[in-house]
Amino acid sequence: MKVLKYLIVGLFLTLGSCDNYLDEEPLTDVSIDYLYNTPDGLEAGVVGLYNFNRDIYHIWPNESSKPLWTYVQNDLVVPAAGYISIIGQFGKSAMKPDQYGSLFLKLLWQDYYRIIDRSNALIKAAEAIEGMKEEDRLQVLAVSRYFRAHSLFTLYRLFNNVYIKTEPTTPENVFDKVSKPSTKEEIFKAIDEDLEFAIKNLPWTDTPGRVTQALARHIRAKAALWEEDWAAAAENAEAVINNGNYWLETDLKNIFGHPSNPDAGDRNGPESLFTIQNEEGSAGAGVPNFIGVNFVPRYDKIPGMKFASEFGGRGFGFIFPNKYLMGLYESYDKRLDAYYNRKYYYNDPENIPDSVLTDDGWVYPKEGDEVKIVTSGSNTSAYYRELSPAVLKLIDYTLGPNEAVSRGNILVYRLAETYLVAAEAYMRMGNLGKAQEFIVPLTDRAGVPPPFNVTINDIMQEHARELAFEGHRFFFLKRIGKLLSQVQNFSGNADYKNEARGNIKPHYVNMPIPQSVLELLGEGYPQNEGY
Amino acid sequence: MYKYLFSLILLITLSSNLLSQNKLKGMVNDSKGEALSFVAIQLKGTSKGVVSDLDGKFELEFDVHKNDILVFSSIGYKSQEIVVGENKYLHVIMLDDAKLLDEVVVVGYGVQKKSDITGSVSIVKVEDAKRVPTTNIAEILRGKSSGVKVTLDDPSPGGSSSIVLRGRSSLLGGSSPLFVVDGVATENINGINTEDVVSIEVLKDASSQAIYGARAGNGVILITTRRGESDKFKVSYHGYRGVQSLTKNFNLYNGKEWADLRREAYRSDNNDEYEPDDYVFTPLQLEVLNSGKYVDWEDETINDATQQNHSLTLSGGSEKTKIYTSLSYFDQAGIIEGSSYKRGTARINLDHKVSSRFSFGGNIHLLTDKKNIRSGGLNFITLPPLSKVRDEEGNISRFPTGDPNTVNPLWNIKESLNEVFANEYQFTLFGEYELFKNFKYKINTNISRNDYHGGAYESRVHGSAFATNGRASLVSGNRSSYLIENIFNYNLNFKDNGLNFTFVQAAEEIKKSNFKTTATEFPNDQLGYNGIESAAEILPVSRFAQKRRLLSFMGRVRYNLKNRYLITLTGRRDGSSVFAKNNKWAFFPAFAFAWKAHLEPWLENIDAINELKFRFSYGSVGNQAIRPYQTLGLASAENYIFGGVVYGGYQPGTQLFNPNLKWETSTTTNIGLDFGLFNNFLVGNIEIYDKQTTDLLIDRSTPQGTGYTSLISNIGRVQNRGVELGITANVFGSKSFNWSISSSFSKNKNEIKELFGEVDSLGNLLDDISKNRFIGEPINIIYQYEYDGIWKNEKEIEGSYMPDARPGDIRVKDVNGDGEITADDRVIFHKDPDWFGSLSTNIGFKGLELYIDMYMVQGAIRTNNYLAGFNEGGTLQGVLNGIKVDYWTPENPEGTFPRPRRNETPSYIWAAAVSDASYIRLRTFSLAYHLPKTWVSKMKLSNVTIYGTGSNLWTKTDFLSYSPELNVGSYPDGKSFVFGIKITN
Repeated sequence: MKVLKYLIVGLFLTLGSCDNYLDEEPLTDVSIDYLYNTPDGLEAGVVGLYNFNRDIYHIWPNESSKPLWTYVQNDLVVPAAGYISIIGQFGKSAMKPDQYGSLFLKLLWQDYYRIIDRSNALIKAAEAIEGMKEEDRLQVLAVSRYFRAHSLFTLYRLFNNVYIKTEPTTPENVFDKVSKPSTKEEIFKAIDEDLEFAIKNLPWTDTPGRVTQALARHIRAKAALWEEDWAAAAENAEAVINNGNYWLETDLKNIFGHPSNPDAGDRNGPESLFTIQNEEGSAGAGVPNFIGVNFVPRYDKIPGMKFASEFGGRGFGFIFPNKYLMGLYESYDKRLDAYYNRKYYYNDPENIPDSVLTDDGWVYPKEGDEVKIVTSGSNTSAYYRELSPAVLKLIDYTLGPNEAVSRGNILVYRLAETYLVAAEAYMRMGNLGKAQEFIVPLTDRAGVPPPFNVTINDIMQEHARELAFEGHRFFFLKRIGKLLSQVQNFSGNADYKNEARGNIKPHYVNMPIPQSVLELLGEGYPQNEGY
Repeated sequence: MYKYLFSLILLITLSSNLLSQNKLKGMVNDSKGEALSFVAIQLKGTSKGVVSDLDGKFELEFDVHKNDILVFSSIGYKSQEIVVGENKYLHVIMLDDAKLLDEVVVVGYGVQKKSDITGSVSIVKVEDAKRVPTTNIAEILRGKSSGVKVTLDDPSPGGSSSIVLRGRSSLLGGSSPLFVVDGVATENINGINTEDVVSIEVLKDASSQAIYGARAGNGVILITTRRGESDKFKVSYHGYRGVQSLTKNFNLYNGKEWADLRREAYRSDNNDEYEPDDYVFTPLQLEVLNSGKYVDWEDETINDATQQNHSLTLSGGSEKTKIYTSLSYFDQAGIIEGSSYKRGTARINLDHKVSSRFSFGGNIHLLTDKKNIRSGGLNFITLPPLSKVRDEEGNISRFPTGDPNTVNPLWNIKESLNEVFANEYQFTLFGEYELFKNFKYKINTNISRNDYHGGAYESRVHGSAFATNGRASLVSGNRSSYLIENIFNYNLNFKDNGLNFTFVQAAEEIKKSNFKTTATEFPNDQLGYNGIESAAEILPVSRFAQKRRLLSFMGRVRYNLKNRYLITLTGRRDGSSVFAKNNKWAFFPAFAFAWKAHLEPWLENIDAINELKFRFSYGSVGNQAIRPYQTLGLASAENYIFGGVVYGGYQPGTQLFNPNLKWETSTTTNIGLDFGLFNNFLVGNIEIYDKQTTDLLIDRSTPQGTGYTSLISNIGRVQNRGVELGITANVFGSKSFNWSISSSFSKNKNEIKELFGEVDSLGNLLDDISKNRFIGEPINIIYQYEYDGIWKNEKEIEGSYMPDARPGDIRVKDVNGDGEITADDRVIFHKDPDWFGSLSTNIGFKGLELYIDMYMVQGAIRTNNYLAGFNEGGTLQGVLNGIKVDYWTPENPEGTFPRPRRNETPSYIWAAAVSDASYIRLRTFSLAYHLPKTWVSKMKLSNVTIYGTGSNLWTKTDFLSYSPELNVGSYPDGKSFVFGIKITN
């Protein structure tokens, strides 16, 4: 019976301690307990928000088509090729709620609401947490509220019929149905409250890439323009401009970098208010994007040409500045050479043809000569796709001439826009002198004369010259009510890819809410008018 | 073997305490002299009787006269009638009934006489199954048990197959059954040397599965390995060698045909005018076309491949100690150049009897293998035949088509290496102690370790690594587990009934992890992946680790009344770490009843009926289709970089956690009938079942505004209903000639009954079209337009529902008849077969033995991507080669495939790719010769057998492929022929 005793003891040893035997501790992920209930966790959660915001620019799907939507739906582009051109042409496939383009819109909806949801969770947790340094806690709250406001602001400007969400999603409430969009007043009240909190608690400056008070004020000023609260717009914009920590670059080529100045390609200079930080290397340093290559032509297709960094490196030849935009610049405007590469020179000596037909007759090119070809007739398409100006604002200057996948920084908000916001706010309030005062630094820098008796038209043109291809144009035109007429009159070129002029409809100022999104919203949630 | 198992277990014993000096006593032996228990001894013409005890002894409880006749019967033995006469002591020798031995069957946590089984347990004929020369154990099960559907996943050397038992019952979870090898749950059974396998049982209904509770939802397969026997020392050798070669039922275009295709593709793009050849073809293509030196990419890359296996077993022992050991070596080359598999295994199974009450034993299993992986598929057979594989000097050319984006697959094979090494160590230790009479305690423990490490290298000139100056990756992984089981077994026996109790308590843990690192920018190719230290760039590493635990209690009661009525009650309570905090424990009960009608007095004397057993069972089992940590809220790394410094960030992913997730429950009702008729001329069984899987885990799309995309919850229901049939006809049986035929048949109907439980405005349950899930339809479907031929001419198109079609385009059916083709015209095709089955026959004549096995699958439908995909050459654009089809041209208006067009994919081409994948296959054809005993014994041997086995020798199917279960581009499954020899001393 001795054996029996041992056995029974042995048995109870294995039977015992079964209370926590089945508890689970994740090994390669952290639990949300850590994330929401510790100071370190909250700070890591905030870092996660920045990454979600950066993910919007991801190469997937379709060559970064998702973030480029507002870069190409406007009056300044030639949408030439790739699916991105269908978006730029306001094509049916892009503008119908159940067509291919709705995939990208769904992802935009999803991405921005994800930031809102995770911000909500962090805000809720930070409000309840104990034992965290007050300063750090307020920082978590302020950054989260900034991201929440910014995401809602973007969603509203894209989709119009959106709703405010302030509670984090839980397994219990995930299928709660929303059947009514929030009103414009509710939305801006929520945005302003969050931004005011952020303004109060954020420092004026921080490490590059971080959200600052300057950024929060900049967005607050932009939101105020939508609310037609001109005074608030002016006040916040001026506060940023006069703060002293930010100033306009004197050398335009320092803002975005330039083939001649690739070091400035990090776009973290004094003019930057918010730059998406990206770097190749260790995990989390960056996500791949295809932003820049969309806007560089296929000059490599020209015999005797190959991709070279000095012309903007590799290009897909999908989207170009149109003649209307280029025509808005004075020929001596310094921005032309800072923001665009307009001329290409033979650089592949082995393949330079003996003779080339140009608009001026036959020429006999040699290495270093400017490339010229016939620009019209059956050559129109080739001319535009191969020799249009390349946009330099989005190029990743760390790439080799044949590389396409970029991990370059993306400058999203900069002080030049703040100046234009201030100018418009004063113009709207009738203070034309003040309005001009805020345009002059921009025109002076470009070496062109400023407008007098500033009108909305002047602002619109200056906005095009200064801020083209930065993602703001669609929202700007929509807000001032000029999207329809501008696109109808100027999109594409008269002789090339101007489909948008005929395609655009009044209701296209709002994106269609994707059918797949509507289906999962509550019954009766309204699609935007016209769709 | 059976003797060993007998000694291991306690079964219902009927014994008498009455002592009477006048009562007749005796002893029953089998022909080898071993005591036979459970032999029924009955006084003829009465219901009086006794049963022999464990030592084969018996003593009658009633008086007998000298003219009385005693009937001795036991299943598996021939009945005998003996006149009592003057005997006071009878020594009876029972002769085997060769046709129907009452096998002892492993049923999990014990064994049971086959005749006493109450649930649906399918016993695989292991000797037939082992004829298939493979390391892929699932393949040896194919066709050997009804209800078991085997699908070949990866026929490459060392590859694997998947098994689905009685239909798919989970959407998210896998459908692989639980494998229990010698009492230990195992994930990978392919490490077992088939020579070691002595029995395989498939537990098909809930009552037999319920002992494995939360893991048994997809069924359970029990595998038992050989153990030593207490007779003379035995050595046996089994070796075979063979060759595998490609089979196919389609052709690719040859150079000339492909040129015609390309010309047609260009022509249709040019208003039906042929373009000049120097426009249609590149200079290189034209050169090859003119020279006629077309490339057959199949020939270049696929070759006959050899395989060999050597297995040596030694066993023996004394009354107290028994040992079985085996060593094996397997080596197979792949039919795609460069792939191969080598494996060595060793096993020691040990049993020691310390005393009549205490015994212990152990198993050790070791494995080491090496796999060379070459290209997951065969996509390169679609390279144009107008190419140059070699340059003028006969070296492999890098760019065979002249296009610098297309690297020669042979070049890539030459410039890459991918090898994985794995080791497996398994230790099982068990002990058994009889605490008091008929009450036994057994402890079963196991520790397993599997580890693997692999290295891959693509050189600096490899097609996909030249841009990064070479690429190497190193991977290593580990699986470790332990198991402790306390098993109590108690037998309680009365005069004509008996009870058996089993109680099990078990704890189990499985840990898995792996690690992978990849590097690029190599200065040279000198060291391959071993030179990773010199790589200039190390890419982000990946790490995976998880742990799962299971804590279980199981109870089983078996009741046997009069050896005719059998009842089994089972309950298992499982606590699993992967279940949600609120749902850690699950309980799975089951009940089964069996009635041996043939032992009823009123049936007993009907000679035509040898066995007639009805079975009914009902019960539930679970499916832990949840991954570890899935029920926890998790946050994964979302790092960011500020001012050039990376900060660690975390955020929850896109799937919202569900703290209430639990197991899927499958509740099965099973009705079965076992029969043996006409002196066991016909033996078989029929099963009918209904399996309802509830609390089905479904990944449901969440509103996008929640910040999540899906949530898994237990909300659906799936039904599987089916019939299974297994019949063996023992046509002829004698010492010099025997012939039997076996067949199995399985039919399963799978149907989704509920998804989210949400209804539309008309009250109909909602389908999940985005995930191709439809209520009332099976899980495995194709949702596609229905191919209806080719538009032959303009006249046909005019006024039709496809007004935009051109002659030579595909016509699909306007299913809803609304006069246009819309998404609503798609129809549902059921992928799973209507039924599948096998037919095999065994013929023995003198020393010759012939075995033939046919396998058939009917009503299966698959999409053949080689008839539709661009990369598979299915789009008829003249860019890639593909399966040769009869395409439409103005000169061939009867073509069944669309007209080739250079710049467009044919509309609805995927509809044309939906193909019937039914097939009939001669799976095994095996002829063996046992050398005559007289010769063999001169060599001091007991048995020498030589044999030849052919596999997959013949297949009939309409599915164009190398093998109807695989797409053309995947690693091909060929036919093989092996020659082997078995020698036993």
